[in-house]
Amino acid sequence: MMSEGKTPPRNLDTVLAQWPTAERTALEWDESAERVLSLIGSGDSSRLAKTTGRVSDEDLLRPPLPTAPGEVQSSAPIETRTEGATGMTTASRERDRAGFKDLARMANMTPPPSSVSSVRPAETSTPGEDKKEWEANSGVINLAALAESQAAEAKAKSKAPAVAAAAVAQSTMRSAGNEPRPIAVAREEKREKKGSPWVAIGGVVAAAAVAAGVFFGMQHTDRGASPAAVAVAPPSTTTGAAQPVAVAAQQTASPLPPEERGVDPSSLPPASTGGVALHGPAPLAAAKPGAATGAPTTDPALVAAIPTSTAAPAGSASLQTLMQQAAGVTSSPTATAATTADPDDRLPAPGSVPLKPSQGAIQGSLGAALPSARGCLGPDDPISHATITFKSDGTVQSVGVSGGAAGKPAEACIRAALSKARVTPFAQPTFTATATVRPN
Amino acid sequence: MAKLTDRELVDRAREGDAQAFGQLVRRHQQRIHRLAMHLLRDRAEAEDVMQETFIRAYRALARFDGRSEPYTWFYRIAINLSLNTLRSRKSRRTTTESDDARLDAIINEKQTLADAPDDAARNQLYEALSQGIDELSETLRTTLVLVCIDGRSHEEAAAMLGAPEGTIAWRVHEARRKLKEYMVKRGFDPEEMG
Repeated sequence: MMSEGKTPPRNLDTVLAQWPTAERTALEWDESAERVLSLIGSGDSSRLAKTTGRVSDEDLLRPPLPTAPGEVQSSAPIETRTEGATGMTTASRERDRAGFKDLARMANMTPPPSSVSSVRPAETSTPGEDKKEWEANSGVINLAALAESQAAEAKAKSKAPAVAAAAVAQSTMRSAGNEPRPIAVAREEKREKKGSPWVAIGGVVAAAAVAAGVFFGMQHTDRGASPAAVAVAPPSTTTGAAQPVAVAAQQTASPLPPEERGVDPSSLPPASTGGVALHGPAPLAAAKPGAATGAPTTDPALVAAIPTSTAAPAGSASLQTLMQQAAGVTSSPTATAATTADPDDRLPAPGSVPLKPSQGAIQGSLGAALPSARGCLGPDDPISHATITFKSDGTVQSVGVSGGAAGKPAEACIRAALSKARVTPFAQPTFTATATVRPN
Repeated sequence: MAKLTDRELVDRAREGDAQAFGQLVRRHQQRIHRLAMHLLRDRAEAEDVMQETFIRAYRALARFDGRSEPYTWFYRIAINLSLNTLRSRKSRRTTTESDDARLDAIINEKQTLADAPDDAARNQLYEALSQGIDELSETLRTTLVLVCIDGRSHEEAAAMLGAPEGTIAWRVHEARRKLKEYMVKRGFDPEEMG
């Protein structure tokens, strides 16, 4: 064989690639093509179709081969073969690479503003802080921790106002621009303690910048405080006086371009008015670069709404406010005023309620009302069926009774009992549920 | 007409231009025929598959979505038809080495060449390779024929077979490994088969 001196002079790939083919003349190929065209023109089937039967188009255009045993279903090539490549773009190629494109796009995206912590885990992760890291980055909002950190911040501020102001300014510079970030502030303070002397020098420089900002901020405050800055100041924060100043300092001293400072909430599209928490988040003028430097807002509605907004006591931060802060949503004063002024607006918007009440809600509601309905039936009365129609606000619109109690005094009793049922509001105009009323 | 791309010819054929489709047939029939011959090892069946491929492609022109090149579409139809023929053939007959159409050209060449020892070695080599390829599974064999014999890139083969490129690469790697093992068992030099 080949090992006896008859070895081929080429390797396996070359041998395969140079597999000889019986040549046909151009005339033969032309005749072959003409035969194909004549078969197409005549509408006849080829010999193959006659012998093997007709295969459906679906089967013909389907990917031909089954998966081989142990086959690797991977899009990463194991080896590269360039010969014969034509640079063709195919659907499968696009599909394979779509994942990488998506990954690249996600890697380049600016992360959404996080009100819990604006500091990256890599910057703050130390062995003892793992749990806190998780708490800060998990998306779970610990309101108790939030309040504690605010208190701690207030203490620190009272002891060292300059340092706290610098920390607030740094935090604000990293944040979206106008959101209070109490936990982030606390973390920044920790970072400063652990940092190198250069960090301390940087802190001094930042403090100087903040001092300048405080100076200008005080001037603006004396003039009557920019409405926009007042609108930004959260009612619950204990650093309320420093916040507008910090924002001003950010706008004047920040060397970072806007895209590195984080997401500008004013550049975001307005959220839908789908829920209470998202009532009309009108873009704040203070969030825009330059707007907090004392330039008065040009939105008359905003200016008109400021007294209503600032009338709320600074220390009465509601859960809703805290959650809005945590979610990075800043309600405009106008919207807040509208919410408090008109109780009807507290009803969930159409987009924020379920299409229909959940099964659990119906069961819970009817389960509470059914015992009294059962009490309407005597022990020997037959079973009755009730059809309860709920209105979209969750109250009962009508109750129909059929079965043994129908047409008897018990019908009115059952109707009255079941009319007390309530479910959570839903989007559909009505929702009908049925219940079986058995005697006790 | 000759300078038109495949896609342009397909567009014209869709509008009823039979000559445009004829151009496509002339452009691709040799490779389709060769592919079918390697898959079927039978000249007559390969001819039938080639004809049926173009007939079915013409009738399904409206379903060609243009996401891939027309020839990948022809290849897919041809492979499906070939595999279908193979499966229906199994109950009817089996191919013997003597009528293996893949070796026709080698036998014909041998008769015209003067160097007889080399011819014998070459003939033995291709006979062994043909048998080794036949030992492979349908999936590995088809992929090997497309990539290693027909010279299609992994990307093209992936489009034709509807599999990721990584899968094609694995199949080629596996087919080559098994083929090499087979050839070494048959006494061929492992280094030459590397």
